[in-house]
Amino acid sequence: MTHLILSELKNNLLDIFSSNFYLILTKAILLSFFLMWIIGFLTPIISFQENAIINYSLERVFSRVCHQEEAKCVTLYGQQMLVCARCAGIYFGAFLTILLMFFISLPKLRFKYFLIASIPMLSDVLFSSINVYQYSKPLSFGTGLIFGSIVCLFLLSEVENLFSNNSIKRNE
Amino acid sequence: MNKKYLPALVSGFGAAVLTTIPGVDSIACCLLVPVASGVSIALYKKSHPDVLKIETGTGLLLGFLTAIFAALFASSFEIIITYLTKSSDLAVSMPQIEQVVKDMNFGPEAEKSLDVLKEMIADIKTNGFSFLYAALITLTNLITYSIFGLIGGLVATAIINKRNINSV
Repeated sequence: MTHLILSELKNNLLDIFSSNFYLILTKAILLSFFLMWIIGFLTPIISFQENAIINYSLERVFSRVCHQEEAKCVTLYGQQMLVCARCAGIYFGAFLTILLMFFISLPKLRFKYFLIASIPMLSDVLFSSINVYQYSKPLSFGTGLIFGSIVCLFLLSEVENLFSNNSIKRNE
Repeated sequence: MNKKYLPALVSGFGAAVLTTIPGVDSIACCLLVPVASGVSIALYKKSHPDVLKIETGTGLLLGFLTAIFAALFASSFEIIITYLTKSSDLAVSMPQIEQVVKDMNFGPEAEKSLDVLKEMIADIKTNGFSFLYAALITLTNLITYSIFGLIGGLVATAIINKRNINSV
């Protein structure tokens, strides 16, 4: 009897360990992806050497995901980022959230959090488009950062859900 | 066709139609495709009211299929527009590409690639169609859209499931 309980306990522990391992691995892969992505659009600013072919290739890649309007892109040291301030905010938000989730557990998410995070960004898009106020890079970056963080939390919650479901299925 | 995948076809087509609007195509994959994936999952949920919680796998599949349909339709529209206007984005950015290749001095191989590109542009200008160009844009769209479709599918599944749980 004791032997059976111990073996069951061992199986459960192994299961928890393996599902946690895959979750951490997925988080690490996502974190690396976002890090590479951020380095990609920061290349003109952080690269020591001007490389026309790399800059051109990266510009083409990021033109698939952002309008890259000069007036809306952050410029540092005379060099321009390859995405606009809002997109940069979204990616930074996602990156920081994943990084944070290595140290703290995922909070309980509700649908209204998504709505609350979307409202500032959508309002900023609307108001700057209809000229209620002029496009502001810090504001766009900030609203993008909030949106990116919350969307990333939902993404992580679904990934966590996927691994816990697989673990339950294996136990059944 | 399996009715399960009809929402993906509908929203994929919708997203592809929107990509034909000038300026929207540059944000097609990061904004339109994830939103279309979300719409597709919401439509799937509406057509299956008995399903309380959408499986992650189903969400991923619907997101991926939406992206694939969007990529195929968007590429077809672009090919048709190129045929009608006999011009493309590639022709516009060609001087920039030539400048980069000249600056970097890559040698004869790069010159050959440049010749292929020039041939492609010449085909587009004379016939309005180049097989290589069509294959290139379809492949690019398939790769980029499917990545964002999968992400959109995953996020939308989480959001829709949370919404259902909260409303129950």
